[in-house]
Amino acid sequence: MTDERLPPADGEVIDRGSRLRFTFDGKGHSGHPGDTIGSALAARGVRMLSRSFKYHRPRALLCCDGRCPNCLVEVDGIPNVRACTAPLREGQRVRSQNAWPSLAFDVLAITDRLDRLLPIGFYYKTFYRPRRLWPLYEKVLRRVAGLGRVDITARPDLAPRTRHLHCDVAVVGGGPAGCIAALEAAAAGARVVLVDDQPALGGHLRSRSLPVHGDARIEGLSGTRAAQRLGELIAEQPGIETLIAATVFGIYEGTLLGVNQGQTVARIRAKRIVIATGAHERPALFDGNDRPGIMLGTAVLRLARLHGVRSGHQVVAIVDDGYGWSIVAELVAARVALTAVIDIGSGLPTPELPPGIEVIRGAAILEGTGSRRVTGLRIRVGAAERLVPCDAVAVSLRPEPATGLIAQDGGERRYDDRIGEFVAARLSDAVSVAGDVEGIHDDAHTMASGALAGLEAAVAIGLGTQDAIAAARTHRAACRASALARHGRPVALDAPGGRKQFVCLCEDVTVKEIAQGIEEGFEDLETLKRYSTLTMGPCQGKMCQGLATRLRATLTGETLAAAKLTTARPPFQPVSLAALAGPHLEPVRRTAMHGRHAALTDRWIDMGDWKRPHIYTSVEEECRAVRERVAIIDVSTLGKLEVAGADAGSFLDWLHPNRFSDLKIGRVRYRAMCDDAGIVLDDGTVARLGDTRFFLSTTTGTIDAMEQWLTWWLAGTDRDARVTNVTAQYAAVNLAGPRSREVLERLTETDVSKAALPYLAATEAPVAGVPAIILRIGFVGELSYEIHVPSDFGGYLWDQLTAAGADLGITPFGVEAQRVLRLEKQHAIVGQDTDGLSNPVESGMSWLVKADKDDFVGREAIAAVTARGPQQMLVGFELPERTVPEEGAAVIRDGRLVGRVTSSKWSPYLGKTIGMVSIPIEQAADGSEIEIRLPVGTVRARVATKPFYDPAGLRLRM
Amino acid sequence: MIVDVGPLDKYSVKAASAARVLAPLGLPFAATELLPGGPGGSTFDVWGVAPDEALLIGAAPTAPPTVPNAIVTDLSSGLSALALVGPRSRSILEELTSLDVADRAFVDRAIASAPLANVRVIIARHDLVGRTRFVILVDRDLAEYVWASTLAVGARHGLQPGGAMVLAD
Repeated sequence: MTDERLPPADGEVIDRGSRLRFTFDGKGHSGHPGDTIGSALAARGVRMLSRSFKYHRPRALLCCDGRCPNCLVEVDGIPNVRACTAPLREGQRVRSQNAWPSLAFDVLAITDRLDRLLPIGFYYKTFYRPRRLWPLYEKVLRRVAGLGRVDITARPDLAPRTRHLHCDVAVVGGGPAGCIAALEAAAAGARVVLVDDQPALGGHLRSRSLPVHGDARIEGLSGTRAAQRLGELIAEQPGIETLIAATVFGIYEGTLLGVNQGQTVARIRAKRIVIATGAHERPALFDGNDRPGIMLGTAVLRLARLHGVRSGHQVVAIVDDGYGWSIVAELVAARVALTAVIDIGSGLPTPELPPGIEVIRGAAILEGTGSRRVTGLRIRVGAAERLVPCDAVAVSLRPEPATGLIAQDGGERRYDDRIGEFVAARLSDAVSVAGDVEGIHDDAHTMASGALAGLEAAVAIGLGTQDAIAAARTHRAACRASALARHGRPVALDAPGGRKQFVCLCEDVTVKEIAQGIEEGFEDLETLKRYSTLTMGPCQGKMCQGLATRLRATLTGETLAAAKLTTARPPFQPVSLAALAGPHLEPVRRTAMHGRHAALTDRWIDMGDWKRPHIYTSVEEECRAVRERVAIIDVSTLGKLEVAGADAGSFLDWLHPNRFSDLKIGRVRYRAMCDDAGIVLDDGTVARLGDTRFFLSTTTGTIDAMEQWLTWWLAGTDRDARVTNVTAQYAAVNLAGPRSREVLERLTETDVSKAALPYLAATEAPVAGVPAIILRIGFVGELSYEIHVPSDFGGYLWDQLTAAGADLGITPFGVEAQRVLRLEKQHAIVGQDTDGLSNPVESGMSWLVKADKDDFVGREAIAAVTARGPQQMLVGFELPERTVPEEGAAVIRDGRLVGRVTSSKWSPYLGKTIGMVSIPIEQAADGSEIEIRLPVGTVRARVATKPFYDPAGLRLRM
Repeated sequence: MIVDVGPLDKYSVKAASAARVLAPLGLPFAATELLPGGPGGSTFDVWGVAPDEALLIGAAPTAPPTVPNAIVTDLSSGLSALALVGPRSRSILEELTSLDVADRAFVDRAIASAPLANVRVIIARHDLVGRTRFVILVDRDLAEYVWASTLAVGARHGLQPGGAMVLAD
């Protein structure tokens, strides 16, 4: 195995005294603590890490910065891990992706030779004829598409976390500009959160050895030492919280940042944001520009300085301005084996270089030769072509500002002709920028802009002083002018030709394909993007957006000044779904009697957040108990509101189509509430417990919406009415059945006879010694009582009622039995038998609507429906056989959909299938036949407009 | 520590202006603040949750307060109270709620309605002598869930359940 380690040097982060063992595609390797997977493999001479998406070309380390797609591997079963930034750990099992049967020999590499058959958008033009073969095409395409494979049976031991952080100033980017911005803001008294995606602060300084100039705090220190010093200053400064190895993946709602740190997602709410995300080098365009060994200059530097890894023995650098030459100086200092520097047009004088490094000026780079590894660069100088041999290339062209977050925030980016980059032209109010993201790559300017940004952010929130800002602005302007004078003019984009000049490395989109797309009419960048998929891969445009924009402008003749970049959307870097989901915190509501139910059944149903017992014994047994004896159900989940005040009655009149102001004390009335469009929102009951006190119930699960609805309509009025949510305050049961009165009489001294407490009466009286509200109402069509007690006594009430009714065969009944029983009475459930288009007239509730009332919510809309006449109607249906149509099944006529089944159950007590349907009015007469679609075939059912059980309602009035 | 604060009597007082109706009773009120019961023998802490609503919270058993010109509703059974005590309380809350509970943002006796573990609660900071304490009022139906969620999230911060003795000043 090769050893590509350089001798130890200052600034490296590896611990050469220890070794960590891991495997790559089954072969054993080792590295040091502090290595990344990528650097450890590179140190062992392993260059090829993956195969590209479409052409399955060999790919290797390119950016060493977590941005490009070249090093995506599977680590311990987790796909799409970037090897260049993933820390090396003992025992890791690393596997390559997108290659079969092996990385070295990939069958699909044949596609690289078939590129003429796979032009841009080929999938839109193929695979649809003959249509009968589509299932086969789909099977093959699914197999070859995508990169990593997800093992859906795996249960990785993840422990996702969510954090909510608040600060005055959030600084995104922990390079020199960001660090100085954080220090200045904190010194002014701001609470600062500093976020950086590297394992330590300092940004590009970490891999530099030459002296840094521009800020007294780190003046003259080597880059490495300057980075360390900034870290120390940050740690010593009160008021700064630092998140490292953390990526800001999005800006939301103005100043809400989403940050991913491993399996943690932090939401940072800041008053001001400083974006100091720096700039990224980009690939050059030439044929074969993706050969393994062709890397970005900073990647070569990072490998050498941080990890002590040699990228090659014969390295050629490509530069186009002063920035590139500064990288060359660093590469020399890092003992990188530079043999040549190709300056493609900076126009700057050649700095002093060690002997043995050839400088080639004004060259056009035509091709990167080689296959599994670059072997040379074919160049043209004037009319002459030559081959410059190499085994690694360091591409250090003018870096592109990382403006993705600026764009996400709604900021505008425009091409700056002098700088030669797309920079921020307009920012939102709470955002400022600092450092290389401004497009100027100069240490002094970087730190001056950082200082200014930090000061301005602090002053903007009332901290610090304006005096310091003026001086900082002047200083920054001077640094900017000086930097611009030293750097060359931008070099025009050159795409010299060849079939494999890759613009988008993620999706294997070449210059030729972009040209073809434009020729086909996709001239607009957004449509070209969608047609070609460029910028839509793992890098999300970090490697290719600027290149693609320039290329498109060149090919269409548009000026860069008029050109726009593609729309930036979060996440800026991939975030795992587990991290986004956070810890499993799913609210669960339990009634006060939950423990009683748990002792009797393990069959539950979720109704919103509530856990309710679904079935205790059997539906048949439970229904029979209700119909023939006495049974009890926990209805604590009903929403409950107390509406009190002198205007409470008129307020309820306003909200409902019927009246409540005339409801007598001690009486209950059914309620169904509609919205402005006359759509049924909710139903329940209203009991008048006092002159100015009403007790209102809602459907299970709608209480929050109903409380909001009532509160909203009350706000801003001078109505003397107050709404209080008492859902949790009361536990409630429904005691139902012909013998329910007998049970209740055993527990209360209050007269609950038919005469004293008739149907739809209400009273407050102790039950089993506990203060209770007793409502003589029911949902299941039998004599029944709804009893509400303070929740603390809920379990006690249940115990007392079941004990009192034991000799009468009292039985608990669950939600399923309740649903069958109410269906036997054709009692609609709002939200099940109604939907977002249901009005009371067409839901069988027209009897509720009091047209002679004063105005109420929904009056006009309901009046309009009444005037035109109902077109649909909610009615019952029955089937003699045991076929039970699915809820939601279609009602059809002449083969066309005309209605739907809203409820459908087998009634063991009645011995037939019953349900409710919403159907056209002309089919809704009693006895009519309707046709219901089943999963296979159809069935004919009979319309029933009266309740199936006790249609006269005598039993519930007993 | 997380502690079930135990039986407390809780009453909602609603009026067009909660401050105006409570002042004659010696019950100081300020929206978004928790204030101790004032003179006149009252035994309630006053939680100002909104300009038109206060919660009166007192050690059980307490006679229901009579507040003229206001709607008083007994919520003693409907609200559970949990206390989070200790120097790491903030770190735990940071993982449960988007409310800013930093020392200078959420001072002693501040109150806020906020989401916590994906449900709506009322949080008050009510320090004990030398100890930071947050009191969380939550619907009774959700109390068990909030308790379990807080313990689960707080485990990595060393959160333990505690008894009422922990709350003694």
